[in-house]
Amino acid sequence: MGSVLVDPTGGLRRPGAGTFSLAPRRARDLKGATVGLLANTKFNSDTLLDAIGELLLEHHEVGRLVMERKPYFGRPLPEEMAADLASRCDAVITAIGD
Amino acid sequence: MADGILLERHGVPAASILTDAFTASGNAMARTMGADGYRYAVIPHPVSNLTPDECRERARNVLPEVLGILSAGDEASSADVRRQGTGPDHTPAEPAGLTTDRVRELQRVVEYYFERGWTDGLPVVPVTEATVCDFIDYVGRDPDEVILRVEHLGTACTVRLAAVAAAMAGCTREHFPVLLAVLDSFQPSVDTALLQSTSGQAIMVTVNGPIRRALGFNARANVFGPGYRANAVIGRATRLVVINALGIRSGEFDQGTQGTPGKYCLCIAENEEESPWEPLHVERGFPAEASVTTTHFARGTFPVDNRSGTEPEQILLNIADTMSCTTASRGCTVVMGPEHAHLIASRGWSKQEVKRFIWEHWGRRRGDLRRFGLVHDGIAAGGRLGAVEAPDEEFLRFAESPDAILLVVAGARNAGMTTVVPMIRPLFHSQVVQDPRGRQR
Repeated sequence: MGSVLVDPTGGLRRPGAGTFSLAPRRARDLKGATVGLLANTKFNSDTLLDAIGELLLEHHEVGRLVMERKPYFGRPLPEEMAADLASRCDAVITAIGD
Repeated sequence: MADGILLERHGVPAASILTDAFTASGNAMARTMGADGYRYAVIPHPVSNLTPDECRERARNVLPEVLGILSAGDEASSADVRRQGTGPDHTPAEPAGLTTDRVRELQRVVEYYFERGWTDGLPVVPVTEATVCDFIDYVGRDPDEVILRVEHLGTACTVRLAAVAAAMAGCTREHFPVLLAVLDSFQPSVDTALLQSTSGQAIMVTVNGPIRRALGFNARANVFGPGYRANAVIGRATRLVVINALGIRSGEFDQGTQGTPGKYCLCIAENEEESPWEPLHVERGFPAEASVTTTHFARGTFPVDNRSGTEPEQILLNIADTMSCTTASRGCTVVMGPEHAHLIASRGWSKQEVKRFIWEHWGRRRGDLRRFGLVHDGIAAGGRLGAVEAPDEEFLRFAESPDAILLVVAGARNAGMTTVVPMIRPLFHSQVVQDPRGRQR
């Protein structure tokens, strides 16, 4: 369809391309799992995740916790950090502080 | 949110925890990443000023949802969320018959407005007699009625010239009654001659009442702009009236030393829905169901960013301290973010108590002003600096009473933020927006 006016967004408002599917969920609970906790570095994000970690160990028989902090809250996690976390964990919980 | 989606792409189940103030951003991010409807866990905002005990409470409450997101057998509900999506795309079609030549013609017209010196520096909408008649018919007023006059310049704004400015600024006729309310109330401020002042003040408009929703005035995120037509066109039309109808142009009769970006446009709406207090227009004696504009001069907007304060006094001292930085102001509008307002109101503070507390702490010690070389200044501290031999320690309040402060609640409920808007003199004008048939809205 021809248009006279130029789209100033370069098509940015269109939904992202490609398909997305959730990573497979293998178990009904986190028993024995290694769970990553990723804080976004904003104030209290780590306090919130620490509290979640404690609850997971005490009441949900989680095997091990892996604590990580994003290098900078304003940008997504670097690909290599995401790949590293994914290789070391069975599940990851991310939280913001705001 | 983006991290959760990224981690899913790397093959590991992820649960993202967001506060309820950021769900719109989260949904937009998921959509941009091609994961529309990605399921996440939500906790109440804010988090940054919680005690460790309160953090543990949030953790306990959100954990079941986090476990659900990460567990097998719960994907069905994830899929449900996915289907909600953001709905079909409603891109409007281009106007029929549009050609490159017709657009070029329009561009030439826009250039003509620049050549005549009729704009604020941005392109304007071309206006013909037909548009002006349509606007005037809509409000049912005499086109020759004078609504603002600058006696010493011999200039005036009529209903007709106001309609031209409104249309040029991008108003539809439905916006026009709001501009008329602003102008109908503003003569006392015009009479101060501050439109020409070196202090370079903007004209700030605050909109209250049902017309906010009817016309889409923004009272929440980015309340000072950009992105909202109603706010933008009312603020802009006000300045175009000053430039074209009153003949007060920059570098000529407008002698602002630096001015402020607010001189392009400074129009907000009060976030009445998320305010713990009575709205501004009710405080100023109007019925809640009335639509009202409140207009005054404004020197600029100064942010007070305080996300960690937990006591009303901390927030209010921070606000008063920021107001005290600009020594040449005797009036101030405090545009308080809903998060600060709720923190303060939850401890039982009324609007009047807030204004009184701020007023008491708004000022400086005489010694500070001496150090700045403002001893002989007639403007600093409202010209009440006093005798040179007076003690340095004495605290000089900048305003005469708490009535020199307007308190408005606006902005998003997503961070501890307030903006202070000082002005030379506390002159505030409130006016009911008439509906098109001349009755009160």
